[in-house]
Amino acid sequence: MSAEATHDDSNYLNATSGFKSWFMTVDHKRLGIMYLATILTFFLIGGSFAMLVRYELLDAAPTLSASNYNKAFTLHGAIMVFLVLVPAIPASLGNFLIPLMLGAKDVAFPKLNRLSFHIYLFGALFFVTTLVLGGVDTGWTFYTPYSSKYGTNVITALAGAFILGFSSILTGLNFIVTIHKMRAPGMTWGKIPLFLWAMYATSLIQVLATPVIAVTLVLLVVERFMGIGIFDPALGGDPVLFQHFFWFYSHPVVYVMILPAFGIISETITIHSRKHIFGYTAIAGSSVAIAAVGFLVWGHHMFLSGQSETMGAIFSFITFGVAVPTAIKVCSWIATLYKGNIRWNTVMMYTLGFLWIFAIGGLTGLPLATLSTDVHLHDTYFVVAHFHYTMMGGVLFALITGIFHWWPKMTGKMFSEKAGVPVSIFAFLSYNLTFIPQFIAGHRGMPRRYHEYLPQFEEMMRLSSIGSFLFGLSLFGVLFVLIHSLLKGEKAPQNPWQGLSLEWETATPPIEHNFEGQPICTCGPYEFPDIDVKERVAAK
Amino acid sequence: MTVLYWISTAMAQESAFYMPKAASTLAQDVDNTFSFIYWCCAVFFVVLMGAMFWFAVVYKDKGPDHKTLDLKGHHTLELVWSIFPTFLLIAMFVMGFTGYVNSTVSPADAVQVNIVAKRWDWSFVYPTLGGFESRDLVVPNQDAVRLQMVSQDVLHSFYIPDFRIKKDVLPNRYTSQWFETTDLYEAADDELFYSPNFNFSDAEESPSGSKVLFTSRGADVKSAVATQCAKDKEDNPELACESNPENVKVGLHQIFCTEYCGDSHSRMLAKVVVLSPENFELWVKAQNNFDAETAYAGDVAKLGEYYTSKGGCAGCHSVDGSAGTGPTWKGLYGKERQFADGSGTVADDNYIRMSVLEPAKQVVSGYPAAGMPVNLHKAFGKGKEEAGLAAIIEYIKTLK
Repeated sequence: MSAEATHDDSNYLNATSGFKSWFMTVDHKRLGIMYLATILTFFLIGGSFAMLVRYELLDAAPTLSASNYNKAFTLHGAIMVFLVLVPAIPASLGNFLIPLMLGAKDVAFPKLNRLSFHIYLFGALFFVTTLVLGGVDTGWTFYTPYSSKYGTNVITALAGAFILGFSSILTGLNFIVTIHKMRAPGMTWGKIPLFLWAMYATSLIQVLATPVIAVTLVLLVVERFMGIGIFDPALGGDPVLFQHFFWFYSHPVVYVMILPAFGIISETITIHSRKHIFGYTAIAGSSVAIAAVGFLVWGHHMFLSGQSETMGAIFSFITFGVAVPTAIKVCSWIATLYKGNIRWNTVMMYTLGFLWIFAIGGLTGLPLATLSTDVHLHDTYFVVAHFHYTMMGGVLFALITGIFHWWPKMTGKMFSEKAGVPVSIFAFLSYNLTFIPQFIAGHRGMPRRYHEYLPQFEEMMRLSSIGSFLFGLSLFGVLFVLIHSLLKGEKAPQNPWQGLSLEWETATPPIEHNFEGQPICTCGPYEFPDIDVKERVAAK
Repeated sequence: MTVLYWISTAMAQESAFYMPKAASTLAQDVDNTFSFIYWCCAVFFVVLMGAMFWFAVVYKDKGPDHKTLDLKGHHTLELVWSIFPTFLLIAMFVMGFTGYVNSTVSPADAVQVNIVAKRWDWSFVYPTLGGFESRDLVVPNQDAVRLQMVSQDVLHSFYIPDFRIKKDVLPNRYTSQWFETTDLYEAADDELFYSPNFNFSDAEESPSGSKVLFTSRGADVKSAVATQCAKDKEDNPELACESNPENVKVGLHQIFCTEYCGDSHSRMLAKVVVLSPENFELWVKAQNNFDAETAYAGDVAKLGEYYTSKGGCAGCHSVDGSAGTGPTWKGLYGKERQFADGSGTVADDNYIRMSVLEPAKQVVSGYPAAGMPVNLHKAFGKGKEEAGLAAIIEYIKTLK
């Protein structure tokens, strides 16, 4: 093969080959792909435990033993939160897209990027090993004193969470510097795609919130080995303090999960409706506002924990403060559709599915933020359904939206719309069948983490289990569409969706160093040629 | 506020399908708040999703040459959808806050009940009424009851859906909660756990089998009230009370633990039994006069059953063969036991006695090595340990 021919077809996927060329790469695109593959593998594992949990709950009478059930839901929650949802979008699509959207060759610190992937792999193996070998059955929240009294695993589990957290600190740091320093000429803060605004806000949270888990870990070690009472009431400590530390980290982390999802939706809803985003500043600003206020609401997980009523009231009030920017975002997305040219394709189906799911997730947060109603709903299936609608439905639907939208860019292959659209509708319906019954069961008073339950909840629990099996099936459908595309898909054109952001300015799939020359940003990412500029002139 | 309250009351439906029965004075207020929030949510959801589907259909792809509207934002519209929800959110906060304050500050004259939670059962002590202990939360109807709660081990949470109350129970300090019931509502069968060992697979065959004394449909409370009534009538035949246990009216509500506390978390259950104030007085009197040995004279096995229920044994040991944290008692007596260290023995009187006194010494293989927590004083009363043990052994013998 001549040097010329290689050059023509060369892209980041085939430039070099072999295990080492991938595992030791510093290319953000390859790292993004490897993250995506790893995260989806863990998603499959965490999802299998979810299926096991739903299988157990088909009947009011238990099939699994209590301790096996408790381990299953702990593994499900811990794997999904720490290994899947936290890195889901930032580490995979974020890594792949940030430099491309900025018009940069790579992230600011490529070797640090590789290090954070290796730390993630090590942390993931460490975390899962300790959970499995230690038989951790505390739930993903590891509340003391249960976790410290009846198991010794809270220290190792939190150590695993911290190693994983360290990986996300490094990724966050890398992204902040990259977005600050490596924007293409002409790309001002007002012209960067909204996905990058979302990633920027996410990165800030990752860098600021994750160290708290390290502090908690140190305190637990000090308590265990020096006998200084911090969380253990037997030593004069306070178990509720652990919850404060835990949620001071874990609440901001839910915005690490959902903000990138907002970013993806802001991109796909404009490109596939050929409209300028409605209220760019409001959407960008609300991401940062949510990130900032998100640090001040952790106490809403603890209204009933014995914290003072005054604190409960303050946390309730601030929590409503998060609802406002969130409502602004949803309204802006829907307004973006107005008088657009909306493509009914797979990406748009998942985008609309996201809006429905997130609207339910967001609105059901209101009775949980309200003090007197939260008393009834706290720790019931209503809460389970609520956070699955936001964290799981929201993040997963956005992630799938993003995977389909940038699939041609990542792989150079198109996928089948004929298969993609029906699968998306099936996924949407079965998702709702899974979780709507949980709202009702929870409202009627079914507590969470019960491995057997009252006969009156059997109907709803069974519907939910059936829904979850169908939803699991639909995700295999998604996998089928993607694998079919890899094997049989047509070659993708450079810009299949006619996008304007810089990642579409380069070859598909991109060459190893992203761009042939330094791209220059001349217009905003949402000023599509389809927009009727005449109408604007006429209106003026 | 008055207007808000009026609006939400008007919107509150009588027993919406997603609500458990509202049986406390607090419940109505909470349900009004729910209904206000859900109506707001419903309007927003319908408007937003309606617009979304409408746009998706009306502005469906009209080909690549179709021009779209040049619209980058609209300040008035953005202000409207920022400010209007803010007002509604503040209203929700205020309603939730006032409701919450009402539920945390108990009236001064409330009946006090101390709740002690431990893995995996609840016990209810009446400090101002004689200091006796009950396995069910027995309360007078339409009278304020204040709960002062503490845990002996990990975190638990005390939840009565019908009253809309819930509060975490901590090992290192008291938490409290109060309620006042509104009527004598008897929860339906499928709203109650019969016992921690309730076997769902044969629910049809034995719907009301009171396998464990304290978990029946308040039968023991009814019989205590009726017996006391009969006794009091001997002194004063004019007395108006019910001496037939069948006719004693009670309200029944399920209590759950809602803070995950280990293996039998989903079996950490109890019931609220609501009595009319007159019957409650009789019940209190019966509790203060209750002497197990007299009550069960001539039936040692029954006395043993009473002790196992008082000691909370059923939290781990089933009597119907179902799995638990500890081995089941069904068919235990005379059975070959296999221990974790490989040795074995036949379960005879001596084995059962030693298993209670030194539970960690010989642990049946497959069960926690730490054995079980034992407090013989609490279960039997001081000086009655040997008699109590003998009674338990007789009871286990009957579980074939």
